[in-house]
Amino acid sequence: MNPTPDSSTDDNSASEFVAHMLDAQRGLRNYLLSLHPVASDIDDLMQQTALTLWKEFHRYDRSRPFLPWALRIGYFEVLRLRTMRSRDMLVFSEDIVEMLAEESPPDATLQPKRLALTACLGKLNPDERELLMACYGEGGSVASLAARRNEKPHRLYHQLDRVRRALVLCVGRLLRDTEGSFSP
Amino acid sequence: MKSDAPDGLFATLLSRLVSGQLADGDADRIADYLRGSKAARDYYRFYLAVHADLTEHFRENAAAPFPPLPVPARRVRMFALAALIPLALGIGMWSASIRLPVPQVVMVPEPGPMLAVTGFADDVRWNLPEPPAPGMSLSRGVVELKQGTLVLHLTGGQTLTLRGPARFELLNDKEMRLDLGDLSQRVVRSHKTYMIHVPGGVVADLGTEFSVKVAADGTTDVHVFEGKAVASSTDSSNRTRYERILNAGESVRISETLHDSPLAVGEFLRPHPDAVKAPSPAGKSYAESVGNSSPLAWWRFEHEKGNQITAETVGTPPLVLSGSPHVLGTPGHRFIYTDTGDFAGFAATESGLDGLDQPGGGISVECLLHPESEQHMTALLLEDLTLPVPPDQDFLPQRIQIERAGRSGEAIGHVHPPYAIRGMARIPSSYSGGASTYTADSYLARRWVHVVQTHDGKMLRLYIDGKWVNETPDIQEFQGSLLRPVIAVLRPTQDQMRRQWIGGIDEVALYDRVLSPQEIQTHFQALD
Repeated sequence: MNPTPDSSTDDNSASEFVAHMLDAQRGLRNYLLSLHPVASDIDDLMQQTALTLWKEFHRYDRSRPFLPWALRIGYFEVLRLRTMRSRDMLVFSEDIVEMLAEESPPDATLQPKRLALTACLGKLNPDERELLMACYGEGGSVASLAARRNEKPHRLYHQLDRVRRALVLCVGRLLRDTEGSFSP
Repeated sequence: MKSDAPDGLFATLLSRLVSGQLADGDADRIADYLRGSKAARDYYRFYLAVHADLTEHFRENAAAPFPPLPVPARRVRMFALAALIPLALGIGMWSASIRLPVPQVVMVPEPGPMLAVTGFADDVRWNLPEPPAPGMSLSRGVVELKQGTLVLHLTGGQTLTLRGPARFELLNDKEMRLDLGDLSQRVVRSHKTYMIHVPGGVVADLGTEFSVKVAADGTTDVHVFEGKAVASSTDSSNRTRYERILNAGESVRISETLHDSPLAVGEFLRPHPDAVKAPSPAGKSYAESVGNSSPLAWWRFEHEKGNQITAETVGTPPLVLSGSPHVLGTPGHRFIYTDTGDFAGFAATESGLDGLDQPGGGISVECLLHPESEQHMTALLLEDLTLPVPPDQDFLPQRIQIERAGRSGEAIGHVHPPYAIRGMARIPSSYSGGASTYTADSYLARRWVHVVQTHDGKMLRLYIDGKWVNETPDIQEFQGSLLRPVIAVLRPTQDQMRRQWIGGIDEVALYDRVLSPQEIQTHFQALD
C-alpha cells in the first residue's frame, strides 16, 4: 500500500522529504544497525522507517533538524520489529538497545568516511583483498575461499578480524588527521 | 579515540557479530562491554558504520572494489609529487584570497587510480613536473593551471576544457573541485552524474554542456548551453542548502543563496574543439618502412570500394566493413573509427589468410591504436576458421588478440595497470586460457599508440611505440590454421557490443614471421 500523506502535502513536500532522506539515510542506517545488528533485517527496517517518516512527515517541525526526528522514529521501528522476532533472534536485551538509542549521535562525517575507507582499502595486500572479496563481494564466501586456499575457515575468520580492525583503525586515523576529529 | 578498540577481544567479538558467527555467550560479552564504558559504545558504533560502508562500497563497486596496487609507473610518482607540492608551499596563500569550501576529502599521500587523460593543450603552464602533452594520465591531485587551455578526458566519459589561471583537483571518478578559473564540461557518452565542487556550492550535470566560472574571490557563475544542470549552494558543513535546475540558456550565480548571474553568455568558456579523431601519424615514410618488411597482409585504410577496404598487399582479401564503422582522416592518413553509437561495427576479411600460421614459423601483428574510452575493448583478433563453432558459442575460437584493458580486474579478472594494452595468444585457438602480456603503463590515451605483438613459438612479446615492454614464455607449435583478422570488435554480431573498440585503428599489418626489434623501432620512427 502506498502511503498517503496529509491532503496539504504537495510536490514540494515530497521533494523536501526526499532531500532530507538523502541527507539522513546513511546516519539512519548506521543508527538502526547499531540498535539491531542483524544485517538481514536492515533493508526492511530502513524501508519501514522511510514509510513511517513519509506518513508522519506533515507532523515534522521544520524548525528542528530532520535527522534526530528520523532517528527517533527509527528507534520505535526497531522496537516494533523486536516484538515480531523471537527472543533468540535478538542480539541485545532491551536495556542495551535503550542505552545505545539514548546516546547515539548523528554521524556528521559520512562522506569523508567513505573516502577514507577507499584509501585504506588501497593499503591492503592481495591476500587481504581476496579475503574481503570473499566476505563482501557478490557470490563469495569465506568457506569457499578457505577450500580454495586449502585452509581452515576459522583461520580466515581470524584474518578477517585483523583486517577489519586495521581498517577501522585506518579510517579513524585518516579522519582524525584530516578533520581534526570525527566525533559528532 | 573511538577507532581504537578497548581491547582485542571486543574487536574479535564485533567481527564475529558482523560475520554472523556469534558463539554462545558472545552476545552477552558484547553487551557487557557496551554497558561498561562509553568508549566501547563509541567504538561499537564506529565499527558497525565502517562495516556498513564496506558492504555498500562492495555493492556499489562490485567490478573494482579496490584501488589498484602500487605500480612502478613514472607518472604515478609524478602526480603524487604534484599533489604534495601545493601542500608544501602552503595552501594558506590561496585561502587568503579565495573562499575555499570546507575540506570534504581526506588527503591521502598515495596516488589513486587514473581519473583523466590530457587531450589538447595550448600554451599551457602548470605546476606539474612534466610539460603537458596529449595522453598524459592524471590521478588525484591539485593542478594549478597557470595559463593556457587544457582539455581533459575523464574516465567517466566527460570532457573538460579548462582555461588558466585555474586551480582544480580531481577527487574521484564522480567529482572534482574547482577553486579558480574557467571550466567547460561536455558529456559525450557518460550516463553518470559528475559533480563539480566550487566555493560555497556544487554544480552537477544532468547530461549537458555547461560552463563554470570561479573568480578569485570565490564568486561562481554557471551557464548551461545544452541540456540541464543542477546548481546548489551549500552551508558551512558542505550540505546542500538551495538548489536550482538550469535549462539550456539559463545562468546562475552561486553565493550564500542562488541569484541570476549578471555575466553575459559570451563570458563563459565553451568546449575546445579537441582533435578527438586526430589524424593518423602514419604517412608515406611509415608506409615505405612497413613495406620494406614485406608483410603477408596489410591494410592502410586508404582505399575504399563500397563497404570494402582494399589491401596494400597483392592477393590479400579486402576487409569488409560491417555495421557502421567510419573511415576518417585526410588522404594518406586515413584510418577506421568505431564506437558503441553511430559508428558501431567492425572490419573483417571474408576468408582466411593462407600461410600466416605455419608449423615452425612465427607471427607478428602490427597496428596503430587510438583508444578513446575507459572500457575494456578489443582492437584486433585473429579467429580460427579451421575450427567449428560449438553449439554454445556464436563466434569462432581466437588465436591472437590485442586489447586495451579497463581497470584492473574489471572485465576479465586479470591483474594489470588500469588501461593497459594486452597482447594475447591462444594456441591452439580457443575461447579462454592462453598467454597474456600487459604493458606497465596506461593507455586511456587519446593519442596514437604503435603496437606490435610477436610470437615465435616460444615467447609472446609486446612492443609499444617501438620498444619492447613485456614478454611471456609460451612454448607452442603453430597449427597451420586458417586465420582471419577481425578488427575493432570481439564478437562480430550486431547485437553484441561487448568489447567494441571505441576509437581509431590504422595500419594493420600481419606477418608470417617474427619482426626484429630493430625493424619494429624503424617502423615506429617512420611515423610523422
